[in-house]
Amino acid sequence: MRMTFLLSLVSLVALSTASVQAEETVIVHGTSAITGLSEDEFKGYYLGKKASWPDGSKVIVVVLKDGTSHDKLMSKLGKSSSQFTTGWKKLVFTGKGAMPEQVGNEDELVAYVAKTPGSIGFVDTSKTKEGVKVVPVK
Amino acid sequence: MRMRSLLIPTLAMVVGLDVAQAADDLQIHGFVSQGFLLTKNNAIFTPDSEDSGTFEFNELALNVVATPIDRLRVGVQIAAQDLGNSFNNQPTIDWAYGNYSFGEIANGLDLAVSAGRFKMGHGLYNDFRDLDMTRPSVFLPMSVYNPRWRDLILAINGIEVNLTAAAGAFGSFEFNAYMGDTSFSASEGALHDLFVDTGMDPSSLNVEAIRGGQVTWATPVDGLRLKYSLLNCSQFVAQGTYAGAAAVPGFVPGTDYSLTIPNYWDNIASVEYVWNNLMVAAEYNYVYYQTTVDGTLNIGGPQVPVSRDSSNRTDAAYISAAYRMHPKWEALGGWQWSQGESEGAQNTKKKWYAFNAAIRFDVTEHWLIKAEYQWTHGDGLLRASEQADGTREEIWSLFALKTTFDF
Repeated sequence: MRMTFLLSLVSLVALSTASVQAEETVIVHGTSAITGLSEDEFKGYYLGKKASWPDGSKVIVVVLKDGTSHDKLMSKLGKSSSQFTTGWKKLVFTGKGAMPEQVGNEDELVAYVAKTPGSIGFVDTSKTKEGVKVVPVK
Repeated sequence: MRMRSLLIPTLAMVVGLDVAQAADDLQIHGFVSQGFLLTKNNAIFTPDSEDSGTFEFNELALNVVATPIDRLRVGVQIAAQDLGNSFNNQPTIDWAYGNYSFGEIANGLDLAVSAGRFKMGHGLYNDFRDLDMTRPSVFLPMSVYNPRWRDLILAINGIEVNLTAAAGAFGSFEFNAYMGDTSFSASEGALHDLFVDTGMDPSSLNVEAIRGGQVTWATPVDGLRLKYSLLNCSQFVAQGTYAGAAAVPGFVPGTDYSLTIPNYWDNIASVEYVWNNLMVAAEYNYVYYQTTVDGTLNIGGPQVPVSRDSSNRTDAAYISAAYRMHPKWEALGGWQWSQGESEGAQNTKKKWYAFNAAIRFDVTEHWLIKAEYQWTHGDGLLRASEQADGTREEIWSLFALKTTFDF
């Protein structure tokens, strides 16, 4: 009885942890030919070092202003939010890049990527919908 | 918005696109900075900086960038700056170039080519020296990034090739090489001021070619990058008239001179390490050039034409550490040093060093306020003509406040 109770408790904790620890994923426009990104490619696109997809089309980076997914993106890039912004301002004011599109929430981000060929975003997996393609980063 | 409505059709006409496509790709950005500079014991950039302080310390810029066709990015930035007696907010084309990306030309190897007027990468920060919003301090370390030389090595008209190479376990490498030239004004600007300050009024200032490049290694250690930069200016020639006190002893005031620098070599070795909210940067700068001055000499007899050679070198370095202790607050501390030597017609040696501390407050993502204090030993950064009494003190200090808006 006691063991059953403990097992139930562990299962409950595991389930609740899973529900709060949302997985984030990279999404691109649904028609993109991209099937996966290396870590270097992922950082290259998000830090403005790569401005074109392999087919030559323009990369449009879409980011959130703040929030959990934004924090996780910064962590994955190894940058603080201010370092990320400063890096892009360096590119923009020397003519080496165009500022990422900034949206207010994850629904807007997914909607933007769904309607914009060439765009790339980073969101909570549960927010993805038709029109975007989930791309694994290896 | 009105500017956008004018720029879009213009850009579209230039690149032969329809207006809607150009509008989709167009971005307009700009910034405005205003500073206040106060010095003690000496003046710098303007006599007004000492005691009362000066607001002749600002930058502004407006740019437009578009990607009219796949792989091609074009843009232009108009900028103006005021720094005491220099620049005086004259609008200039800061950069205007096209960049074509060939993408991955071989496994892990990306190639891009730029043509037009572009910022020269040199050291960690030369191409960002006007971008106040990209650093915690008001001034970059003046030993390596002397603000007086901003318009001399900031941008050139020419071509640049950029190659990036993924190196697996060794990180990645970036190679840049550029060549071109630029024009210098003989009637105003930093170079004109330098010649005037040494008693040599210039009538023409020309350089045959500027070339250089950088190798940047993003090491396998997260946040650590190393860089080496080389810049060469060939066949720099200044011509003009000696005025007043001649720069070369014995040369006759009122007579013509010609100064030639066959090759000017400027090297910077850089290291930058970013670990979480801490950033440490250090750079060593070595400059070498020979000069030949042809002029007229008068040694108690008839005036005779002579030619005098000298060799010059400058060694400079700095180290700085910046820490962002809060999303809105960042602090920086640093040390810098410079030593210049000249051998030939005159043997001179000048050395100075300084300590600085700065704090930055980000009011919003697009508005910041900064303050900086610098204590300096030595007068290598100073000019006699900027001192109210014509003399320079050995120990002096500088306080600067600056605010910047960008969009």
